[in-house]
Amino acid sequence: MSNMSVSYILRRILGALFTLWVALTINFLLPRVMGGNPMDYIASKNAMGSLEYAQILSQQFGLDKGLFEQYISYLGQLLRGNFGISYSTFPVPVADIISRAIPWTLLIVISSSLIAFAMAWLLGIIAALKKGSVFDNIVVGGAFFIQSAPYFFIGMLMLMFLGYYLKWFPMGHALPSGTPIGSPWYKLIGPVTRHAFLPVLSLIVVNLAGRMVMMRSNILQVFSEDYITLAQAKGLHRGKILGKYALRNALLPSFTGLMLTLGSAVGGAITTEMIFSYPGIGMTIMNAIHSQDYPLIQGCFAIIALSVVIMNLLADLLYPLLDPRVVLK
Amino acid sequence: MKKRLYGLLAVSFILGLTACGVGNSSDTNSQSSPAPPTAETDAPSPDNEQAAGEQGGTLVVGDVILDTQMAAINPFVPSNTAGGLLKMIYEKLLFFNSITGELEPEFASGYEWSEDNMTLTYTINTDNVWHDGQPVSAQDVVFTYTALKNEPVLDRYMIMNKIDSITADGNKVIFELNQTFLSLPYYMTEIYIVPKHIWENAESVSEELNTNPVGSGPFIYRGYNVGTDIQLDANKNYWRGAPKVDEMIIQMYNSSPNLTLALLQGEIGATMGTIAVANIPELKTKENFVLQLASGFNNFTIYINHENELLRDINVRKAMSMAINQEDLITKGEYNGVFPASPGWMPEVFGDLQSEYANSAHVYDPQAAMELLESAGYTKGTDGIYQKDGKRLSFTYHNAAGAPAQQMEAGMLQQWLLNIGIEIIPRLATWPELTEILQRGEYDLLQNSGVFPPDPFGAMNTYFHSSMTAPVGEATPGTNYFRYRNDEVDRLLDEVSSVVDRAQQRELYVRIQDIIADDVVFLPMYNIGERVPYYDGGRYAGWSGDAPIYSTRGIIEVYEIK
Repeated sequence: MSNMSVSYILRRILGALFTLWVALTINFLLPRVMGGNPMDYIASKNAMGSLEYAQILSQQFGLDKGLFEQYISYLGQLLRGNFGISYSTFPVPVADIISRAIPWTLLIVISSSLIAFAMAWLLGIIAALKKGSVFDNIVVGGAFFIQSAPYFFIGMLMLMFLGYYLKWFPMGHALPSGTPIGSPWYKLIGPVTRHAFLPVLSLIVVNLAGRMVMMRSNILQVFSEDYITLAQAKGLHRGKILGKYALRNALLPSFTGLMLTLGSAVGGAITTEMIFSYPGIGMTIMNAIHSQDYPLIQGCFAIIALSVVIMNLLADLLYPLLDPRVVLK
Repeated sequence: MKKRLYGLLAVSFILGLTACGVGNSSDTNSQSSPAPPTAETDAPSPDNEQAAGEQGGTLVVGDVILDTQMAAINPFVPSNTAGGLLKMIYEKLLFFNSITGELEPEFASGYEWSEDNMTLTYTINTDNVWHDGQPVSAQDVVFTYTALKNEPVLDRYMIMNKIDSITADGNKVIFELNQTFLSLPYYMTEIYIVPKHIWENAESVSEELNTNPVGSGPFIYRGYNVGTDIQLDANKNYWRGAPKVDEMIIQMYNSSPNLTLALLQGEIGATMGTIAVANIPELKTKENFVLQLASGFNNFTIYINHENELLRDINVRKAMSMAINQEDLITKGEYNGVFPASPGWMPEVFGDLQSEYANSAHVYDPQAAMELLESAGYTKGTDGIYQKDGKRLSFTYHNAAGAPAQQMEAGMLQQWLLNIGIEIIPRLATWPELTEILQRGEYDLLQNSGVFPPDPFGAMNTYFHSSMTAPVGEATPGTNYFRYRNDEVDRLLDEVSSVVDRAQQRELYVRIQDIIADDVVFLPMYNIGERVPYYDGGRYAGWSGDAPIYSTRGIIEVYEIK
């Protein structure tokens, strides 16, 4: 890391920690500025609106304490890795809920992001090399069409066509109904993959479009650079120019986008989960907000903030390795 | 280079298809995908009735259940877990049959009050055993209720402070009360009994996740697959008789639309959860489709704030009531999947306690509504809105955001009121916000549900007694969000709380309802109880007609048609 000084690294890490603290503080305050009191709501649903019962619940969950005291308690718990107990699914710890949901979210979001990026680069490169051809026109036109359509439309289209009418894929769930309880993990790989296909495919299609157009533009832009003209003038093979000089420069803008996408992957894909009845953190967050489940909202957003900050930091630290022109002090 | 790229693409595509197994999906259990009903083979017929007594097979139903709700299966906090699942695994002392309005045996075979109504004794049904083979006993009941007494956070109806002691004597459980509380057996229909020998070692019953529940109900918990289904085995030793099916699968869905789609497809035989109401007309076209409806403990209502100066005028409230087409609300808003709510509040589920006069007090007559306002001195302004002494009949109208059915109905209601010259200013809020607004009385008109326990006294007292309200700006101790105060209603409610004789109770409840109806305390919309869609014939039959489908008595009769 000769082009990155130690002081820069330390500053970035401290900056990331500060950003995280600000995010966690906003995370604490945000649910509390929503209208309504969660304990009153629980009492109204389950205990005929009993004020006495709402007060018992407030004591149970520490909401009878002052705001600053709650904030200090919240930070203290976070430092110990404790996200608290969920109100809406009491007595389940928030960490349990998140650890249950996140693997399924990561499965579909990360796999679809990586595949979408890979395919976007591939298709974008081909489209750029064959600029003006039928292939280029179809790919770019298709990308613009997909980008203009909302995700739920694409998802529902796939569900109805591939699942309901053609019955090529299951229409929902993570596994086939009736799967024997306690099946060994290796027997579940096939069924899990089959059930994840439609959700992943829908996310790939939607993520692919914009990135492919961007990659195509990046390649075209790099090919217009002087050093590429020089390389062509020197008689270097086109493949070598692409692989050794153009690609790496064209990929650089996409790299940051990929890191940010992976960072926000833990936020889930709520529309995907709703359309395909797929487990994940997205529905968990939505229901937490509807129920004003403060600990669950805070826990989920803390994980998202942490993930985004870490991936951002990694992007900053790795970028100079990819681009030696960048010198950071 | 180009050839290499194309080759890579082709290989990737082929590998992807192979890995994912494109082709007719055989993933779903073949038994859970019934053949589409046809007029020739699946129409209900006497042949299906002759199949009664069939054994074996799998009952597949669906419910809206998130994985988070499966993280704990604690019957002490039923609202936080999959409610339908608990009903299959556990029992209460008695269960309230919302179809007949009667209390029926379950964990207990019956109860009796002492002469002074201060001691309640249950006789335990000792024919039953826990799922692990241990016999049930009165000690299990003592343990369960003592746990509630020790942890007030679990006592959501605050009934345990009325009970001094709980003891066992042979197969009897004796509750000693410190005050008369005749409704107690009704509240006990909401409390599941747990096995003492399993729970007694828990440090705190409220914090037990209980992920491997052991109950005494008709089905035994086998396990669940994440994001997919919950699997239950039939309890062959169940005291009412083993369920006719061998197993039950509850398929989990993320939302009502997904659940409804599964029902439309025939993927499931019935639902335990709420379906998308707008699909009811389409469902009704399906062969063998039935909707079990019963009145229940939820009145959707337009709350009127009686602290509002204009709304305090009975003529304004009566006029608003006459402007509402309740029939249209039920047929077009809820597709006949609900019952009319009574202007006297008491739902049909409480049987003969309902007042016939109050029940028929609502009349739809917009013309008469306007005539009433005019006779009361209101005049229509140039903007078409009635006014009196310079005050226009203009009110804010709160309803739930993110609830399409509610918003559609709010639109209907607002238009009807506008038609009789009353201006409505819509306000949207989340459900928790609506609760807070109601509690503090910071509204004029507000559309929301009113939920109450299976107890007629609880249903009336908490909503209409003046001790259950508070001035605007303060939170109410109960659910008298209307800010309604009537000394005669208070007196009658206080009196009925200690009356044992059914005929006397009825007389008092009828008088209370009649006053409430005459006072137009609220604007009734509809009442929701059981609303269970299922297919009778085709694949399943034996669905109960005189008990809720998902009661322990009803579910054991369902069988799979071979």
